[in-house]
Amino acid sequence: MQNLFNCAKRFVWIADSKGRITAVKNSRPENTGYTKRELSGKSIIRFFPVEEQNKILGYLRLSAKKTRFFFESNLIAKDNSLILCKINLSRIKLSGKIYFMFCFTQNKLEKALYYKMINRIQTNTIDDLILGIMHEINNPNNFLMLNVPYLQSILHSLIPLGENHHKCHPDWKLNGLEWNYIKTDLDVLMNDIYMGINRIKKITSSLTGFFERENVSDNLNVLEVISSSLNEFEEIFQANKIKVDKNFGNLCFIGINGDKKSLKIAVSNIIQNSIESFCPSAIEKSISIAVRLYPASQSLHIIISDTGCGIDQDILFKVFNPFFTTKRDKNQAGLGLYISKYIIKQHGGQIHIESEHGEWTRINLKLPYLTVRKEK
Amino acid sequence: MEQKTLKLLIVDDEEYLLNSIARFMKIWGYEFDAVESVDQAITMLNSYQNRKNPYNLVLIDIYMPGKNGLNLVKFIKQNQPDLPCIIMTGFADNNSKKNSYFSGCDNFLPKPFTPQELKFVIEESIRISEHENTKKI
Repeated sequence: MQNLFNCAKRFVWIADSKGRITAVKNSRPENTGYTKRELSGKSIIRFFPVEEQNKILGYLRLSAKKTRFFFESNLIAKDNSLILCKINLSRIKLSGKIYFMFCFTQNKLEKALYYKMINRIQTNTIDDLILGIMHEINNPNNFLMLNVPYLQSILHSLIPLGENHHKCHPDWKLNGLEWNYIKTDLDVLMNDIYMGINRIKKITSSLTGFFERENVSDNLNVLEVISSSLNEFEEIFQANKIKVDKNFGNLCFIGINGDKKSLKIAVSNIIQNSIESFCPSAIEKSISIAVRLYPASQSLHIIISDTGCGIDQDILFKVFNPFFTTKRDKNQAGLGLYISKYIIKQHGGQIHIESEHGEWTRINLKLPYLTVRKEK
Repeated sequence: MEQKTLKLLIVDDEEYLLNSIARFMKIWGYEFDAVESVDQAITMLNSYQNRKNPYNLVLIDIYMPGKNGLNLVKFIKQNQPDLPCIIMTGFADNNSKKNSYFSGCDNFLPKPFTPQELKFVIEESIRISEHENTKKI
């Protein structure tokens, strides 16, 4: 490994016997200091010029014999332009894998493809984890969901008995509480339990947003995705008298590489938040969606703005955090914007938010595009 | 006319869930057997007593130790195609749903479910299967 560290022109990492990265050469310093557990499921991609291919390959084969690296042969490209290495942590009694992808290309398109591949590997790991958690929460929540109504009906049928007993013994107390209080508090108590159960259910069902994928298309029309997301809310817009302004200019087709279903969820979550941001008494309620192209960087910006209640600057940076919500009382899980950000990142994009408390909110989705067609 | 009591087989490795469902089966007046694995379920389905007085419906969890619940659905659909099967699972993602319907199940019930949802799905599955059976006759 020391040889590799000294000879490589691009980057090398060195890990200690416990798997913690201790030194990096020509690489991001933030990669150092990771423990194996922290790195679990993480994937790292690095690019090299084609000339260095044989040299790096040789070093990798050599180090594979000595260390815990091994090649994932299925994923090596035919011309050896791509190597996927996997550190198998199960050998050292830790679950999880670290993937290293070495790509010998400087071609922009190939780089994008490899990024997508490593993302997919990473996504699968995260999907498995979330799916597992979902299952583990749904099962015990089911015990509650089935048994609490049963308990409630039994308690209700016991009320007349309690009434009779109370008539004979007016000072009767249960658990230190008077009978009249218990009788009226019973429904409140049950409602609190139902609220808890439903909140757990809402959180786990919101997590399904992570898995809603169809087939990734190379020619997905973003404008169609936005329009169909807006159509979903048509009735709500009308009922709440929300004005919607859709401004695509003279564009009729912007093709991106992506998945229609998940992208629609990302946009819908943002629109849903905009709708919820309006005060019921507000006079002017409007949402506008504009699309702008930046051909120099091959990127498109979807700007979704609303004239709702805005977000306080103190909490603005938290809105993309999982389980952060200001609407906990309305049984919101606080996963909508987090999932939107996750999906946009999966599509190689970025998401930014700006807001003025009490005035407006603007969310900017930046995505790479492939093709554009304009109306004649 | 006397209404026939429904007879159900419930397959889930979670003892607590079996107990919970069993409570409601008693309330609703259904006859039922509860087992904790696919192998036990197959034994029950093949037993002489149950062949004589067959089940009206089977409730199946997907992930259980040993064989998978979807294998049981396939087995049932090969041997008793008219017997409705309901898959209930905590993996409520689209893939599980798709795989369940591909295996041949009649209904998919994501966990957690309320007693009302359970009753509705059971009754609906039996109604549909009876309707299809009368069409065949």
